[in-house]
Amino acid sequence: MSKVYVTGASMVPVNRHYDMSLLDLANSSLMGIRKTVEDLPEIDAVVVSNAYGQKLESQSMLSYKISRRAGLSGKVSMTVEQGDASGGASIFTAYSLVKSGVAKNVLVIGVDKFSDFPSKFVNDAVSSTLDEISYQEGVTTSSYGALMMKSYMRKYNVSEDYFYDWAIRMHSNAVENPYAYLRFPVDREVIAKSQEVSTPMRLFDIAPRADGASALLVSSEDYSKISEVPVEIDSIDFSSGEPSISSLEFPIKRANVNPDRTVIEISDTFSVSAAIELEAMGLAERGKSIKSLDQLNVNYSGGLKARGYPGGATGVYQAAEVYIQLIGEFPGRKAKEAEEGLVLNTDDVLRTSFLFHFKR
Amino acid sequence: MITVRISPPQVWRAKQSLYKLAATKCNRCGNIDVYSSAFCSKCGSNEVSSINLSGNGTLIFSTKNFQQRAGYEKSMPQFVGLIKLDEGPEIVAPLTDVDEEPKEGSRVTAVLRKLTVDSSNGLIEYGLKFKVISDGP
Repeated sequence: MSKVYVTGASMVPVNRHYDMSLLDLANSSLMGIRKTVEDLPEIDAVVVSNAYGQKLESQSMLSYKISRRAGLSGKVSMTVEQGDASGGASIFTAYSLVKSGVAKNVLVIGVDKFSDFPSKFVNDAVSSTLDEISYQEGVTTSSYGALMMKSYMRKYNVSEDYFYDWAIRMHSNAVENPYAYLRFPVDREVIAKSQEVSTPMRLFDIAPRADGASALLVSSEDYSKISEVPVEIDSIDFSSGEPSISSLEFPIKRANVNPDRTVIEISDTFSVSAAIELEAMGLAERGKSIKSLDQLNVNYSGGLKARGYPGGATGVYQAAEVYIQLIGEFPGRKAKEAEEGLVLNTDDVLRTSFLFHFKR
Repeated sequence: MITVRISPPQVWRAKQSLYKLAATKCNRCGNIDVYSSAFCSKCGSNEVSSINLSGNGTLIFSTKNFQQRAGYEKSMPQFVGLIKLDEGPEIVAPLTDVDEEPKEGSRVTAVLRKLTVDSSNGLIEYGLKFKVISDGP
């Protein structure tokens, strides 16, 4: 079978970019690719990953608009939407196009924007990923997260402060990452005193939504040398289903990797999501994951918690971060021994997940 | 600007689920989905029957939510429960008529309540919330 590679990546710092529209953000990520990939090959297809542009920015046909502005008219282009797992779905699409031989080089652009409206409107947009009745009844995804956290606390007999170490670790990683949104350290006291969002979850149990754009170049083997260090997309696993909050069962596949040699980015929408994901992937013991973070090279970006949570762009950021780690150029905390990479990109409340395995 | 819009056809169409807790029971595998559908979500069979659930259940636990959503500001803080319905399915739904988190294991029942109001013409949307009827079995 033909092999598929990541040959370039760029990121716009996650932030409240009041001066940039969705199209400006996408352009900025494209400029990043032009600057970092010396011999940019002919692009055969553009896949745009966006989850909330239709609802919050009233923008449809984003892929056409972005491609046209970048001088890529005439190339196959499409927008892929799967909530906050859009990034995973888009990279999966690009991978399939290259693997099948339909395209040699595919540009994936993840872009989303939240800072144009007060958070009650953002919460409404994000909650539209819930099933129709839950959405109409006014439930938010954070309440689902809170119920997951309660279930985890019951099952493993831990209290709220068990989760503090996640936020502390994420913020400490983000301090070193120039692309991160919340670049300040936090301690247990700050977390314990932060506002309640949905009991028992506090502000520091929740990833902050912010604007971002990230681009990824996905290429066939003939073009793998574009990247000084070729990074192969070794496999992609997909999982979806109806989770059970009471028994803490979620559709996440096991990861067969050696943690010592693997750099990992997971979707920590809520601190409990991080625990559930690490345990379901088999990377930590059940009920103890947050206490065993020293054994894992996980979320050196700062994660959704502190790098920030740019909606449909998130999965593209995660893949970009792992790629840049594997070529040895990550500007933040480095996973020096890493030969392999793992990205888990999920929706907000863990009903669907993409698991990518990268090898250099 | 984003406003809260209620579409009468949308609400009318969802009346079975918004007002009555309609469900779909699979004649092949027995699975119950808490909405109307032509297919079973578990086995994909189209041999399904429409049933109405009793609306009674047991509260597993709940959360007190302070995060607002446009259109639902008046029900803040909002209590949301994880409920095991008597017929088996587990659902997440808002609780009503409570001032603090109810006891785990409380018996609850579905009641009709106002959900939200259209921000331009005042149309009201109603739907089900769950009310505590006793502290436990």
